[in-house]
Amino acid sequence: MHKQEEFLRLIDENKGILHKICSVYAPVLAEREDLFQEIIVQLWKAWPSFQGLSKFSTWMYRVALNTAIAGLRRKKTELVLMDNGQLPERWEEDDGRKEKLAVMYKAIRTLPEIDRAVVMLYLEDHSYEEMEDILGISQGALRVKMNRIREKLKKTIQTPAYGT
Amino acid sequence: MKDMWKQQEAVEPAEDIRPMLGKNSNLPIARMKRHLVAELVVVVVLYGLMIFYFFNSHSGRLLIVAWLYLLIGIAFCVYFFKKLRLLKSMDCMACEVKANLSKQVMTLEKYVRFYLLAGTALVPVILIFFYLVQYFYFPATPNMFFSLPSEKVSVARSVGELLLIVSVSTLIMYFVNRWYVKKLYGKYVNQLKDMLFQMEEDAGREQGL
Repeated sequence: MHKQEEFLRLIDENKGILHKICSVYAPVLAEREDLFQEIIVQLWKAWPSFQGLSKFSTWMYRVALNTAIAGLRRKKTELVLMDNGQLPERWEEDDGRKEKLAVMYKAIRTLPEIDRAVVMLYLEDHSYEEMEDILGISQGALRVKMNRIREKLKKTIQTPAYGT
Repeated sequence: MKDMWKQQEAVEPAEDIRPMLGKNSNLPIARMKRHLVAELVVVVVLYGLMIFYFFNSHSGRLLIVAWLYLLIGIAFCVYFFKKLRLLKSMDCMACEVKANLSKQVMTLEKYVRFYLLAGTALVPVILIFFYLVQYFYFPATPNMFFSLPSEKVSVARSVGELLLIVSVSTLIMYFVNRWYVKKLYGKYVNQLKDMLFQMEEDAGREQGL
Protein backbone atom coordinates (compact mmCIF):
# COMPACT_ATOMS: atom_id res chain seq x y z
CA MET A 1 0.00 0.00 0.00
CA HIS A 2 2.81 2.35 0.99
CA LYS A 3 4.49 1.68 -2.38
CA GLN A 4 1.26 2.31 -4.25
CA GLU A 5 0.78 5.61 -2.43
CA GLU A 6 4.31 6.67 -3.27
CA PHE A 7 3.78 5.69 -6.91
CA LEU A 8 0.53 7.66 -7.09
CA ARG A 9 2.15 10.69 -5.50
CA LEU A 10 5.04 10.69 -7.98
CA ILE A 11 2.70 10.22 -10.94
CA ASP A 12 0.49 13.05 -9.73
CA GLU A 13 3.51 15.36 -9.53
CA ASN A 14 4.51 14.47 -13.09
CA LYS A 15 1.11 14.09 -14.71
CA GLY A 16 1.62 17.17 -16.85
CA ILE A 17 4.53 15.56 -18.68
CA LEU A 18 2.48 12.43 -19.35
CA HIS A 19 -0.34 14.52 -20.80
CA LYS A 20 2.12 16.32 -23.07
CA ILE A 21 3.49 12.99 -24.30
CA CYS A 22 -0.06 11.84 -25.04
CA SER A 23 -0.80 15.06 -26.92
CA VAL A 24 2.32 14.65 -29.04
CA TYR A 25 1.54 11.05 -29.97
CA ALA A 26 -2.24 11.00 -30.18
CA PRO A 27 -4.09 13.64 -32.19
CA VAL A 28 -7.56 12.56 -31.16
CA LEU A 29 -8.87 12.99 -27.60
CA ALA A 30 -10.13 9.41 -27.27
CA GLU A 31 -6.72 8.08 -28.36
CA ARG A 32 -5.00 10.39 -25.88
CA GLU A 33 -7.08 9.02 -23.04
CA ASP A 34 -6.32 5.45 -24.12
CA LEU A 35 -2.63 6.23 -24.36
CA PHE A 36 -2.63 7.93 -20.95
CA GLN A 37 -4.25 4.90 -19.37
CA GLU A 38 -1.83 2.54 -21.11
CA ILE A 39 1.14 4.58 -19.90
CA ILE A 40 -0.15 4.41 -16.31
CA VAL A 41 -0.61 0.62 -16.63
CA GLN A 42 2.95 0.23 -17.94
CA LEU A 43 4.41 2.53 -15.29
CA TRP A 44 2.69 0.55 -12.54
CA LYS A 45 3.85 -2.73 -14.06
CA ALA A 46 7.44 -1.46 -14.28
CA TRP A 47 7.32 0.19 -10.83
CA PRO A 48 9.02 -2.75 -9.04
CA SER A 49 11.99 -2.32 -11.42
CA PHE A 50 12.48 1.32 -10.39
CA GLN A 51 15.17 1.12 -7.78
CA GLY A 52 16.06 4.78 -7.55
CA LEU A 53 19.28 4.32 -9.53
CA SER A 54 18.14 6.95 -12.00
CA LYS A 55 15.93 10.01 -11.59
CA PHE A 56 12.25 9.20 -11.40
CA SER A 57 11.58 11.50 -14.36
CA THR A 58 14.17 9.67 -16.53
CA TRP A 59 12.60 6.31 -15.70
CA MET A 60 9.12 7.70 -16.29
CA TYR A 61 10.06 9.21 -19.66
CA ARG A 62 11.54 5.89 -20.80
CA VAL A 63 8.43 3.90 -19.91
CA ALA A 64 6.05 6.52 -21.30
CA LEU A 65 7.94 6.97 -24.57
CA ASN A 66 8.41 3.22 -25.01
CA THR A 67 4.67 2.84 -24.60
CA ALA A 68 3.82 5.66 -26.99
CA ILE A 69 6.46 4.90 -29.62
CA ALA A 70 6.70 1.14 -29.77
CA GLY A 71 3.50 0.19 -28.05
CA LEU A 72 0.35 1.19 -29.76
CA ARG A 73 -0.21 0.23 -33.37
CA ARG A 74 -1.56 3.12 -35.29
CA LYS A 75 -2.98 3.53 -38.73
CA LYS A 76 -0.73 6.42 -39.65
CA THR A 77 -2.58 7.85 -42.65
CA GLU A 78 -5.94 7.83 -40.90
CA LEU A 79 -4.59 9.62 -37.85
CA VAL A 80 -2.82 12.34 -39.83
CA LEU A 81 -6.03 13.08 -41.69
CA MET A 82 -7.98 13.23 -38.44
CA ASP A 83 -5.56 15.66 -36.85
CA ASN A 84 -7.34 19.00 -36.88
CA GLY A 85 -4.82 20.48 -34.46
CA GLN A 86 -7.14 19.80 -31.55
CA LEU A 87 -5.56 21.01 -28.34
CA PRO A 88 -5.83 18.98 -25.22
CA GLU A 89 -9.06 20.17 -23.65
CA ARG A 90 -7.52 20.50 -20.28
CA TRP A 91 -5.19 23.26 -21.34
CA GLU A 92 -6.67 26.72 -21.35
CA GLU A 93 -4.83 29.58 -22.99
CA ASP A 94 -5.85 32.95 -24.31
CA ASP A 95 -7.00 32.90 -27.95
CA GLY A 96 -3.78 33.99 -29.64
CA ARG A 97 -1.53 31.55 -27.88
CA LYS A 98 -4.06 28.73 -28.11
CA GLU A 99 -4.04 28.90 -31.87
CA LYS A 100 -0.26 29.01 -32.07
CA LEU A 101 -0.02 26.09 -29.66
CA ALA A 102 -2.45 24.09 -31.81
CA VAL A 103 -0.33 24.82 -34.88
CA MET A 104 2.80 23.75 -33.02
CA TYR A 105 1.27 20.46 -31.86
CA LYS A 106 -0.03 19.75 -35.34
CA ALA A 107 3.39 20.40 -36.81
CA ILE A 108 5.10 18.18 -34.23
CA ARG A 109 2.70 15.37 -35.01
CA THR A 110 3.79 15.36 -38.65
CA LEU A 111 7.25 14.27 -37.52
CA PRO A 112 8.24 10.59 -37.30
CA GLU A 113 7.78 9.02 -33.86
CA ILE A 114 11.41 9.26 -32.75
CA ASP A 115 11.75 12.88 -33.86
CA ARG A 116 8.67 13.77 -31.83
CA ALA A 117 10.34 12.35 -28.72
CA VAL A 118 13.52 14.30 -29.44
CA VAL A 119 11.74 17.61 -29.95
CA MET A 120 9.54 17.09 -26.91
CA LEU A 121 12.51 16.41 -24.66
CA TYR A 122 14.25 19.44 -26.15
CA LEU A 123 11.24 21.66 -25.46
CA GLU A 124 11.15 20.32 -21.90
CA ASP A 125 14.69 21.69 -21.52
CA HIS A 126 16.44 18.38 -21.10
CA SER A 127 20.16 18.37 -21.76
CA TYR A 128 21.48 16.22 -24.60
CA GLU A 129 23.02 14.00 -21.95
CA GLU A 130 19.61 13.41 -20.36
CA MET A 131 18.08 12.82 -23.77
CA GLU A 132 20.78 10.24 -24.51
CA ASP A 133 19.97 8.53 -21.23
CA ILE A 134 16.30 8.30 -22.12
CA LEU A 135 16.44 7.53 -25.82
CA GLY A 136 19.75 5.70 -26.21
CA ILE A 137 20.82 7.96 -29.10
CA SER A 138 24.29 9.52 -28.86
CA GLN A 139 24.50 13.24 -28.10
CA GLY A 140 26.12 14.02 -31.43
CA ALA A 141 23.36 12.27 -33.34
CA LEU A 142 20.78 14.09 -31.24
CA ARG A 143 22.28 17.46 -32.19
CA VAL A 144 22.16 16.49 -35.88
CA LYS A 145 18.57 15.35 -35.46
CA MET A 146 17.53 18.51 -33.65
CA ASN A 147 18.97 20.72 -36.43
CA ARG A 148 17.10 18.75 -39.03
CA ILE A 149 13.88 18.82 -36.99
CA ARG A 150 14.11 22.61 -36.53
CA GLU A 151 14.36 23.11 -40.29
CA LYS A 152 11.52 20.74 -40.95
CA LEU A 153 9.23 22.35 -38.38
CA LYS A 154 10.00 25.83 -39.72
CA LYS A 155 9.02 24.74 -43.22
CA THR A 156 5.91 22.91 -41.97
CA ILE A 157 4.62 25.82 -39.90
CA GLN A 158 5.15 28.22 -42.80
CA THR A 159 2.97 26.26 -45.24
CA PRO A 160 -0.54 27.66 -45.93
CA ALA A 161 -2.20 24.49 -44.59
CA TYR A 162 -1.04 25.53 -41.14
CA GLY A 163 -2.69 28.92 -41.37
CA THR A 164 0.48 30.98 -40.96
CA MET B 1 8.66 27.47 -29.60
CA LYS B 2 10.27 26.73 -26.26
CA ASP B 3 8.58 29.73 -24.67
CA MET B 4 5.21 28.69 -26.00
CA TRP B 5 5.74 25.15 -24.84
CA LYS B 6 6.72 26.21 -21.34
CA GLN B 7 3.88 28.66 -21.03
CA GLN B 8 1.32 25.92 -21.33
CA GLU B 9 -0.49 25.67 -18.08
CA ALA B 10 -1.79 22.25 -17.44
CA VAL B 11 -5.26 22.69 -16.05
CA GLU B 12 -5.93 19.07 -15.46
CA PRO B 13 -9.05 17.56 -14.04
CA ALA B 14 -8.52 15.67 -10.81
CA GLU B 15 -8.59 12.32 -12.57
CA ASP B 16 -8.33 9.29 -10.35
CA ILE B 17 -5.45 7.17 -11.52
CA ARG B 18 -6.03 4.41 -8.96
CA PRO B 19 -8.67 2.48 -11.00
CA MET B 20 -6.30 2.48 -13.99
CA LEU B 21 -3.73 0.40 -12.10
CA GLY B 22 -5.83 -2.74 -12.35
CA LYS B 23 -6.56 -2.48 -16.08
CA ASN B 24 -5.22 -4.86 -18.72
CA SER B 25 -2.64 -3.61 -21.16
CA ASN B 26 -3.69 -3.16 -24.78
CA LEU B 27 -0.18 -3.20 -26.16
CA PRO B 28 0.43 -5.70 -28.99
CA ILE B 29 2.64 -7.94 -26.85
CA ALA B 30 0.05 -8.13 -24.04
CA ARG B 31 -2.64 -9.01 -26.61
CA MET B 32 -0.38 -11.69 -28.10
CA LYS B 33 0.07 -13.21 -24.63
CA ARG B 34 -3.68 -13.33 -24.03
CA HIS B 35 -4.34 -14.89 -27.45
CA LEU B 36 -1.65 -17.47 -26.81
CA VAL B 37 -3.20 -18.49 -23.49
CA ALA B 38 -6.61 -18.76 -25.17
CA GLU B 39 -5.03 -20.94 -27.91
CA LEU B 40 -3.51 -23.19 -25.26
CA VAL B 41 -6.85 -23.66 -23.51
CA VAL B 42 -8.57 -24.54 -26.82
CA VAL B 43 -5.83 -27.02 -27.79
CA VAL B 44 -5.84 -28.69 -24.37
CA VAL B 45 -9.64 -29.09 -24.45
CA LEU B 46 -9.82 -30.35 -28.06
CA TYR B 47 -6.87 -32.71 -27.71
CA GLY B 48 -8.24 -33.91 -24.39
CA LEU B 49 -11.51 -34.85 -26.08
CA MET B 50 -9.76 -36.59 -28.98
CA ILE B 51 -7.44 -38.52 -26.67
CA PHE B 52 -10.43 -39.61 -24.60
CA TYR B 53 -12.29 -40.68 -27.75
CA PHE B 54 -9.44 -42.75 -29.19
CA PHE B 55 -8.64 -44.34 -25.85
CA ASN B 56 -12.22 -45.50 -25.41
CA SER B 57 -13.42 -46.29 -28.90
CA HIS B 58 -12.81 -48.97 -31.53
CA SER B 59 -12.25 -51.55 -28.76
CA GLY B 60 -8.83 -50.13 -28.07
CA ARG B 61 -7.58 -50.72 -31.62
CA LEU B 62 -6.73 -47.08 -32.04
CA LEU B 63 -4.86 -46.69 -28.77
CA ILE B 64 -1.77 -45.79 -30.75
CA VAL B 65 -3.59 -42.77 -32.23
CA ALA B 66 -4.57 -41.70 -28.72
CA TRP B 67 -0.92 -41.91 -27.67
CA LEU B 68 0.10 -39.91 -30.72
CA TYR B 69 -2.35 -37.15 -29.84
CA LEU B 70 -1.11 -37.21 -26.28
CA LEU B 71 2.48 -36.83 -27.44
CA ILE B 72 1.57 -34.04 -29.85
CA GLY B 73 -0.46 -32.40 -27.10
CA ILE B 74 2.55 -32.44 -24.80
CA ALA B 75 4.72 -31.07 -27.62
CA PHE B 76 2.15 -28.29 -28.13
CA CYS B 77 2.35 -27.40 -24.44
CA VAL B 78 6.14 -27.16 -24.67
CA TYR B 79 5.75 -25.07 -27.84
CA PHE B 80 3.27 -22.71 -26.16
CA PHE B 81 5.41 -22.25 -23.06
CA LYS B 82 8.43 -21.50 -25.21
CA LYS B 83 6.38 -18.91 -27.13
CA LEU B 84 5.13 -17.42 -23.86
CA ARG B 85 8.69 -17.19 -22.57
CA LEU B 86 9.73 -15.37 -25.75
CA LEU B 87 6.83 -12.95 -25.38
CA LYS B 88 7.71 -12.25 -21.75
CA SER B 89 11.27 -11.40 -22.75
CA MET B 90 10.19 -9.26 -25.67
CA ASP B 91 10.14 -5.85 -24.10
CA CYS B 92 11.92 -3.82 -21.49
CA MET B 93 9.78 -0.77 -20.92
CA ALA B 94 12.15 0.81 -18.40
CA CYS B 95 15.12 0.50 -20.80
CA GLU B 96 16.32 3.23 -23.13
CA VAL B 97 13.95 3.54 -26.07
CA LYS B 98 16.53 2.30 -28.58
CA ALA B 99 17.42 -0.73 -26.45
CA ASN B 100 13.74 -1.59 -26.03
CA LEU B 101 13.09 -1.32 -29.77
CA SER B 102 16.12 -3.51 -30.60
CA LYS B 103 15.01 -6.13 -28.09
CA GLN B 104 11.49 -6.17 -29.50
CA VAL B 105 12.65 -6.56 -33.08
CA MET B 106 15.14 -9.31 -32.25
CA THR B 107 12.78 -11.30 -30.05
CA LEU B 108 9.80 -10.90 -32.38
CA GLU B 109 11.86 -12.23 -35.29
CA LYS B 110 12.91 -15.19 -33.13
CA TYR B 111 9.27 -15.73 -32.19
CA VAL B 112 8.16 -15.70 -35.82
CA ARG B 113 10.94 -18.13 -36.87
CA PHE B 114 10.02 -20.51 -34.09
CA TYR B 115 6.34 -20.36 -35.03
CA LEU B 116 7.18 -21.06 -38.67
CA LEU B 117 9.52 -23.95 -37.86
CA ALA B 118 7.21 -25.66 -35.38
CA GLY B 119 4.13 -25.25 -37.55
CA THR B 120 5.87 -26.67 -40.59
CA ALA B 121 7.71 -29.52 -38.84
CA LEU B 122 4.46 -30.97 -37.53
CA VAL B 123 3.27 -31.93 -41.03
CA PRO B 124 5.86 -34.61 -41.93
CA VAL B 125 5.68 -36.02 -38.39
CA ILE B 126 1.90 -36.54 -38.55
CA LEU B 127 1.92 -37.88 -42.14
CA ILE B 128 4.70 -40.42 -41.48
CA PHE B 129 3.00 -41.47 -38.27
CA PHE B 130 -0.33 -42.12 -39.97
CA TYR B 131 1.45 -44.07 -42.71
CA LEU B 132 2.90 -46.32 -40.02
CA VAL B 133 -0.48 -46.64 -38.28
CA GLN B 134 -2.06 -47.69 -41.55
CA TYR B 135 0.81 -50.11 -42.24
CA PHE B 136 0.67 -51.84 -38.87
CA TYR B 137 -3.01 -51.57 -37.96
CA PHE B 138 -4.88 -51.55 -41.27
CA PRO B 139 -2.75 -53.63 -43.64
CA ALA B 140 -5.90 -55.17 -45.14
CA THR B 141 -6.91 -51.78 -46.59
CA PRO B 142 -3.73 -50.87 -48.45
CA ASN B 143 -5.24 -47.85 -50.21
CA MET B 144 -7.02 -46.30 -47.20
CA PHE B 145 -4.97 -43.08 -47.21
CA PHE B 146 -1.57 -44.17 -48.46
CA SER B 147 -0.53 -46.77 -51.02
CA LEU B 148 0.98 -49.45 -48.83
CA PRO B 149 3.38 -52.05 -50.26
CA SER B 150 1.38 -54.95 -51.70
CA GLU B 151 1.37 -57.28 -54.65
CA LYS B 152 0.58 -54.40 -56.95
CA VAL B 153 2.61 -51.72 -55.19
CA SER B 154 6.31 -52.13 -54.57
CA VAL B 155 8.00 -50.88 -51.38
CA ALA B 156 9.96 -48.33 -53.37
CA ARG B 157 6.80 -46.96 -54.95
CA SER B 158 4.97 -46.85 -51.62
CA VAL B 159 7.81 -45.00 -49.88
CA GLY B 160 8.32 -42.79 -52.93
CA GLU B 161 4.66 -41.74 -52.87
CA LEU B 162 4.86 -41.13 -49.15
CA LEU B 163 7.93 -38.90 -49.60
CA LEU B 164 6.19 -37.01 -52.39
CA ILE B 165 3.07 -36.40 -50.28
CA VAL B 166 5.21 -35.36 -47.29
CA SER B 167 7.37 -32.98 -49.37
CA VAL B 168 4.46 -31.32 -51.15
CA SER B 169 2.39 -31.00 -47.96
CA THR B 170 5.32 -29.63 -45.99
CA LEU B 171 6.11 -27.10 -48.69
CA ILE B 172 2.49 -25.97 -48.90
CA MET B 173 2.27 -25.71 -45.12
CA TYR B 174 5.51 -23.70 -45.03
CA PHE B 175 4.17 -21.11 -47.49
CA VAL B 176 0.76 -20.99 -45.80
CA ASN B 177 2.43 -20.45 -42.41
CA ARG B 178 4.75 -17.84 -43.85
CA TRP B 179 1.82 -15.92 -45.37
CA TYR B 180 -0.14 -16.18 -42.10
CA VAL B 181 2.76 -15.05 -39.93
CA LYS B 182 3.45 -12.12 -42.27
CA LYS B 183 -0.23 -11.15 -42.05
CA LEU B 184 -0.16 -11.32 -38.24
CA TYR B 185 3.18 -9.70 -37.46
CA GLY B 186 4.75 -8.40 -40.67
CA LYS B 187 3.44 -4.84 -40.42
CA TYR B 188 4.35 -4.52 -36.73
CA VAL B 189 7.90 -5.80 -37.27
CA ASN B 190 8.37 -3.34 -40.16
CA GLN B 191 7.11 -0.44 -38.03
CA LEU B 192 9.56 -1.32 -35.26
CA LYS B 193 12.44 -1.65 -37.75
CA ASP B 194 11.50 1.68 -39.29
CA MET B 195 11.69 3.37 -35.89
CA LEU B 196 15.02 1.71 -35.14
CA PHE B 197 16.28 3.04 -38.46
CA GLN B 198 15.10 6.54 -37.46
CA MET B 199 17.21 6.28 -34.32
CA GLU B 200 20.31 5.15 -36.17
CA GLU B 201 20.21 7.27 -39.31
CA ASP B 202 21.77 10.38 -37.85
CA ALA B 203 24.52 8.43 -36.11
CA GLY B 204 26.06 8.01 -39.56
CA ARG B 205 25.83 11.74 -40.28
CA GLU B 206 27.36 12.55 -36.92
CA GLN B 207 30.37 10.47 -37.88
CA GLY B 208 30.58 12.27 -41.21
CA LEU B 209 29.71 9.16 -43.22
